[in-house]
Amino acid sequence: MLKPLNPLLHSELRLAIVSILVGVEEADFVYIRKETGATAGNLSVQIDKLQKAGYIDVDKGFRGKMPRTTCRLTEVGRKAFSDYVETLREYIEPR
Amino acid sequence: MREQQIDEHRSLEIISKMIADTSAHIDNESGKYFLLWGYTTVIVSLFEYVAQLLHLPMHLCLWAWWLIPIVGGIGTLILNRRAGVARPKSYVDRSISAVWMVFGLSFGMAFIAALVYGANILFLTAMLMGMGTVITGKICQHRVLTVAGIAGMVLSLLIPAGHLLLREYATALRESGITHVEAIYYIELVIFAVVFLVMMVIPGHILYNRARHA
Repeated sequence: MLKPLNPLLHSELRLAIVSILVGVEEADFVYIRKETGATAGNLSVQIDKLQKAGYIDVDKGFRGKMPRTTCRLTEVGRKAFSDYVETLREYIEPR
Repeated sequence: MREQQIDEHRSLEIISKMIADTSAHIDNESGKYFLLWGYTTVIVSLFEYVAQLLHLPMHLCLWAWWLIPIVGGIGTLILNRRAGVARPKSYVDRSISAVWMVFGLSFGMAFIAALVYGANILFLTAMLMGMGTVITGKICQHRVLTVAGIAGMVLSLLIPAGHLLLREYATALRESGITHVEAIYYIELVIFAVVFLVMMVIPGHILYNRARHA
C-alpha cells in the first residue's frame, strides 16, 4: 500500500516554492514570484499556508526604502520535502 | 503556476526545473565581480607605469593606487545591491564572501608588511588574489577560475624576478636615465597588470559570457 503524498506539498505552486528554497539559504518574494510566474496575491496565500505549517520562515523588512520579504526553509520543511520526494519515488518505481 | 493538484510526474518536473533554475541564478553573477576588480587593477597598474615614465608627481602616483579599493568597493556594493532581489542567497555566496573577506584582511597585513619591512607588495597582492581565485573556483566548481588562479600564482613569481627576465628592457630603461630601483619597479608594474589580466579579466569574460548564454 502506497503512502499518501503530503497534501500541503502536493500542489503545483507550493511544491515550486519549496523546491526553490531547498537549494538556497533564502530567497526573495520577488524572485520566487518571477520564477513561479504566480500572481503576488496567490503566492502570498501559499506562502502563508507553508509558514503556518512551520515549513518556511518569512522575514519582512526593508532594503533601503523598499519593503522586502525573504523566505527560508525550516528544518521541518526540509524533512517534509525529503519525505515527499521519497514517497514520490515509491509511486514512480513501485517495489 | 496555480494552486492545483498534480500528478507524480508533474511533481518531479517542477522539482527538477526549480532546482536547476535556482542553481543557474546562483552562478550568474561571479563573472561581473572578477571583471570589476580585474579591469580596475589592470587600468590603475598601467596608469602607474605611464605616470612613472612621464615623471608625474609622486603623490599623484601613490594616491592613484587607492582607486582600486575605492572603485572596486563601491562597484561591489552596487553589484550586490542589484543582485539582491534578482537572485537567491546560497551557502556558496556566504562561503565566497567569507573567503574574500579573509583575503581582504590578508592584503591589509601585506600592506603593513610592505610599509614596515619593505616587503614586495605587488608580489604579495598578486599571490594572495591568486589564492582567493583558486578557492573561489573550487567552491563554485568553475574550472576556469581554478586554472586562472593557479596561472596567476605562478605568474606572480615573475614579479620579483622580472628585471632579470627582461634584462634588456631594464638596461634600456637605465640608459634613458632611470635609476636601477625605478627600472625594477616599472617592470614589476607591467607584470602585475599581466597577472591580473590572466587571473581575473579573462576568466571574468568567460564566466560573464557563459551566464549570458545560459
